[in-house]
Amino acid sequence: MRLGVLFSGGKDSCMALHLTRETGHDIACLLTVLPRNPESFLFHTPNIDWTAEQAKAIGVPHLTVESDGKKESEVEDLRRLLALAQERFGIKGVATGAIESVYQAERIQRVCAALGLWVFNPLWKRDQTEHLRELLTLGFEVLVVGVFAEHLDEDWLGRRLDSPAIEELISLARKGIQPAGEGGELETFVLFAPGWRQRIQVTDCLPEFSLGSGILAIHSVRRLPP
Amino acid sequence: MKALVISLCSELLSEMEFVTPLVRIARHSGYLVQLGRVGEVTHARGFDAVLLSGTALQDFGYLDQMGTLSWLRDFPGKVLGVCAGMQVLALLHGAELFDCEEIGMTEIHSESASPLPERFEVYALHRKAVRGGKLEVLGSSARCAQVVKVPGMEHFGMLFHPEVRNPELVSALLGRLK
Repeated sequence: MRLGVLFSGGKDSCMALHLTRETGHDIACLLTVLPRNPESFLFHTPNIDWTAEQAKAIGVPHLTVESDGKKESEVEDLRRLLALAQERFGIKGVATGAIESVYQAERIQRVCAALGLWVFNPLWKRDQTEHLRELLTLGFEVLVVGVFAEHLDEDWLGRRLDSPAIEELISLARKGIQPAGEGGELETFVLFAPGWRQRIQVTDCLPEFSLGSGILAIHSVRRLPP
Repeated sequence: MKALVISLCSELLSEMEFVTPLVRIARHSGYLVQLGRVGEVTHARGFDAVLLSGTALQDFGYLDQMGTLSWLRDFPGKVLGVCAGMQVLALLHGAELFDCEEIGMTEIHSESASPLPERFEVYALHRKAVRGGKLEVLGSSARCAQVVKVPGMEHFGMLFHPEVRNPELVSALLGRLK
């Protein structure tokens, strides 16, 4: 089936993309809403503009719409994006990286139902520990670019999700952290994953951390051969 | 105890969403689980329970495969049909489908004689609901029957998706059915 993948550049949407390809679907485009409000309810925000470079590294067309990121208009922004993808790329459905969020899943399902699009959530209800370990096994290179919870301090910003980092996240589950960050504890940025034509290297970035949360603001990247 | 989980999905990619979570719950409930696909499974001899999965909202391919599931009517073990699975179970027992879309959290009120909680919140994702047929309705949303039972058998249907917010209902049902 010809599909678009809702793409935030984080580990979950990149894994959804990978699984969608692995099951034989034709990926027509990556779809990103660019919220101009860092408090967006539906959409991933830190470093979202770099999804354009990630899409080039993956080698799939990238379609975006801007959103004011207000709760009441975000669903309409998503509808605009998906309608545009239907028109320009002839997509029959979308895949998402939703794991737990009923809020997000419900809104995507409603918009797609109205447009007659199929929805695929291949990570839905996935065990978060298994999910993290699978990222590593498959060779995903993932950077932590946002921390928004107690026990995740400034040192996490810019850290690679390698085996020790993943085991540490899993051990934090005892302290109420959802290991894959489904509670909004963590945001990630993927540098490389299976099937990508190029890898991303972050060449300039700055951690911004205050009052127990922060982001790694990426200022420049370059694309390298895999 | 052995459970057969039958995927009603037309697309493999949907199975990760609608089948894998049911497999996990059945395993946590103490069952050895085997996976089958609609159209390929012709019986469930040797199994204690059969679970029928839901499907993507646009996926009605299972309706073309109804003939391959008629054996379920007489299956002596336990059956749980989720969403599309409940529709299949209901159709096998003379019910009909009608258009009824619910997407998102909804509240279920259970009948007084039902073993379910009196009221509970569930995640619904369906475009068709069931009516009529030889079924006992154990719980309903404001729009339609959400939990049904085949009288005299341990065959249940849940139109909502218990794997999303109510996995304990599946475990309880499988446990109670043991």
